[in-house]
Amino acid sequence: MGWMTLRQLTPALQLDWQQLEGLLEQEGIELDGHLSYTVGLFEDNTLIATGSYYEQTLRCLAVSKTHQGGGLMNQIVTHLTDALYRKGIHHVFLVTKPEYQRLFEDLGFFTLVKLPNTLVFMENKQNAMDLYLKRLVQETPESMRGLPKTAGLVMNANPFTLGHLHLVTQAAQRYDAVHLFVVQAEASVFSFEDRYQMIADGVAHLNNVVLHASGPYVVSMATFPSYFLKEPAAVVAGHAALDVTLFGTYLAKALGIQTRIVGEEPLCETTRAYVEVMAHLLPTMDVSCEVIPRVTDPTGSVPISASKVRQLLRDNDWQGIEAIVPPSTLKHLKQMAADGRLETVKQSTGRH
Amino acid sequence: MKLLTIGRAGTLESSDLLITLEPSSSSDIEIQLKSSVEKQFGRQIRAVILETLESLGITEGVTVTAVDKGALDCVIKARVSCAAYRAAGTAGDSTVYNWEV
Repeated sequence: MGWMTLRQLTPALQLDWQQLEGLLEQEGIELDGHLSYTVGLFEDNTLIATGSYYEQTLRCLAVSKTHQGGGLMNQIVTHLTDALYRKGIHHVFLVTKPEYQRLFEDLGFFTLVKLPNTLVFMENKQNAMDLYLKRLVQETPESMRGLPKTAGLVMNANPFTLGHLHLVTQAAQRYDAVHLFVVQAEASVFSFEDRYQMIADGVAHLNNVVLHASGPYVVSMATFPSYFLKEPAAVVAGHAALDVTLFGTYLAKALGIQTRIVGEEPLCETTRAYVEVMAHLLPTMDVSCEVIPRVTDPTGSVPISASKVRQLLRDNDWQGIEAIVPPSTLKHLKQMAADGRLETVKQSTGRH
Repeated sequence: MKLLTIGRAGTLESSDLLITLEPSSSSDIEIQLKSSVEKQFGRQIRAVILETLESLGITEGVTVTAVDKGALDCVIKARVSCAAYRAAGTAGDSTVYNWEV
């Protein structure tokens, strides 16, 4: 056996990165477009094992066929989880090929969902999902539990507009109980705290709606990274399948959700791809999917969207904003402006 | 010893133990163990973990997650102690550390 070294791999060092591409292709693993960190194990100058993470999910893990059975994946996983530990990340997820499920179970990972012939999604805690589901149930007022027509919807609301309000209002009218999951990932110009508050204020008058923080299990960096990044359609569909399967398998069952409600999406390609996947997959898990058409702005021609609000904020067009957000959101935004907290929003040019 | 944060020590290599200690609000010590020799040594491994924690004055309010790859008792003791000191934030403070062998 030759000299073994472990070192970080980056696209800047092309020879290393070319070896990474070669190894992953050889082992039939897709190289993700967005990775936070990649490590490689070399024997002399040949890459024989690799692993990466994106945020808190380990991905693109592979050991060359010529070197399997030597505990190399153990080293890679130790290194990656140690790096995450040093960043304060303790709840770690993992995506890999279904045939490696046993291998990673032996390394202390537990399976959440398996998409046949595609991937297996795992986490390093045994009862995290149980505790999460318990929390969801506990947050739900008793009067709202176990009702025949229960719906669920997931919202980022960056910020909460009349369009979002319309969606929730429709859901509240048509269903006995509505579970509204607020995307917790901090990847939008409005913080989770602000978004949650604006949603809460905006739906306070609806007494059959309960809010839940999404946690890492729905539309998160772990379950649906494409939501936060620009990815090709095939990748989006793959991520969407995972997110939707988790929802149907765990969240919907725990809360008795029979219908997932979503707003029609004329503008965002990623969301459209997601909705398409949902419409196909959810019924196989006994959850139906209802798409509610968008409302348009006062001119009647432009659908109301949060990105429009962000644009109007950059233009300082408070009249324009007032026309497409509920009074509670307007109040919150004005308070943020008074507190000097709108500067980052105004300067941002990202997707979210 | 009071645990303030999550402490971790060890690796997944053969004959080692990877252990994480997390402060919890419960009144017990909960051990979640994954071991390649669970049937033969599961009970022994748990006992050594508990004894080591006890010797450090830790008897409640901890969730222990351990992935065992065939570690000997001395290795378990060493990794548990290291994780505990990291969790307590006094790692490297030799005036409180019981150096033993």
